[in-house]
Amino acid sequence: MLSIGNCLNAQFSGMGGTSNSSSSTDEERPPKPKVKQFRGDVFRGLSIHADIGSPIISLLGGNTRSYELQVDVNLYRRIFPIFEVGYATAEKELISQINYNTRAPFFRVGVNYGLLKPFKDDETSRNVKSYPFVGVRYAFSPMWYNLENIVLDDEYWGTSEVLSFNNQFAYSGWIEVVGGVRVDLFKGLTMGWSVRLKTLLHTTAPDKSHVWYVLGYGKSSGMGFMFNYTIGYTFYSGKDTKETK
Amino acid sequence: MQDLKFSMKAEIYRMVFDTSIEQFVPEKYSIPVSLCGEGRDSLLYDSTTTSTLNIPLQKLDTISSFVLTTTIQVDTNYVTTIDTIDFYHTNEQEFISLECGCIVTNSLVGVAQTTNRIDSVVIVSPEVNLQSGNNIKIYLSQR
Repeated sequence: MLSIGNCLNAQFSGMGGTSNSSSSTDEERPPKPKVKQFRGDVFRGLSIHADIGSPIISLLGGNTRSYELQVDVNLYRRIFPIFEVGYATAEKELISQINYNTRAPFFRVGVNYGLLKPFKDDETSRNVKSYPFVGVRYAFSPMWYNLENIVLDDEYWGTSEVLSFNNQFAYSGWIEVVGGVRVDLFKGLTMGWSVRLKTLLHTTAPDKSHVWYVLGYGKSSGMGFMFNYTIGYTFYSGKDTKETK
Repeated sequence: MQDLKFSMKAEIYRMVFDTSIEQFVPEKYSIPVSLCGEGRDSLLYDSTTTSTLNIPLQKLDTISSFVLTTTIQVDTNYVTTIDTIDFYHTNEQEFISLECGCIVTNSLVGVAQTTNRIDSVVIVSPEVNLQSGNNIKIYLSQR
């Protein structure tokens, strides 16, 4: 044991790693002062975007159509509260030839967080007009849906009837985790890409399968994944347009 | 698609004289019965000795008629009697899920019967659904 201890002491002394010598190194390199990122004007701009990805995907075929607009506010060039509104339709023949169709609006509220710091380490301002972001949303859809062509068999009595349950109402809500990029193409003409991972939190429908497709969410049976490609315009606040890169 | 089936539950009773209180009191009566829907070939019970019956009401009509055949012992003889019972009910259709499909719950509003062997039929619980217990009591006479 003694020999191992001597060995270890010799190894540390060889590295010059005593506690006294390391503290003297810290004194030579003082920690950098943290650059305050949230300062200056709060309001830095407003963006209005339309999703063009979903309508294009709808044109390629499928059972759903979705159109949506996004409005976000730029705060400190870092925080972007966002409101999204959309209108969608879905129609599908489910198992046993049951026809499901619905059309309704959906809404999302949340916030994006820009991953680029508005101020560099040397305190100079960075012109954050194109930036990657992450965000969260709470979304909901008050939807009316129709279930048609439901065959009701009375086996014992040998009778059968085709039923429809129209104008059924369900309020469904879900959360989304969003990641994406916003790019300033030319003097406020902006476009963005985002991917979303969604999970359904609640629905007033008696059973999830009542609402095969929750508008704005997707198939109610599992987690949702969505890709948005948006294009729009950003109105920067006057001060922001003068900042240099 | 699964189909959730509800059926009305019935119990068969007879009246017996209780000497201790000197009154007639109902007693569950287990006897051979045959039961089928009127106009149907398929027997729900075929000379089955029982005091409880599960009776499927119509899902798409509001009157369900059944032919009940009972065999009871009178003195030393077995007597078989045929009765008809008409159940009047409302139906409520409800879509449960894609897997389970549609269910129909019935609500009894009235009953009419022949009185060859049946003395009376009493509705004790009109709602015919998964939660309901016994819905009707069928009292037989022992003439």
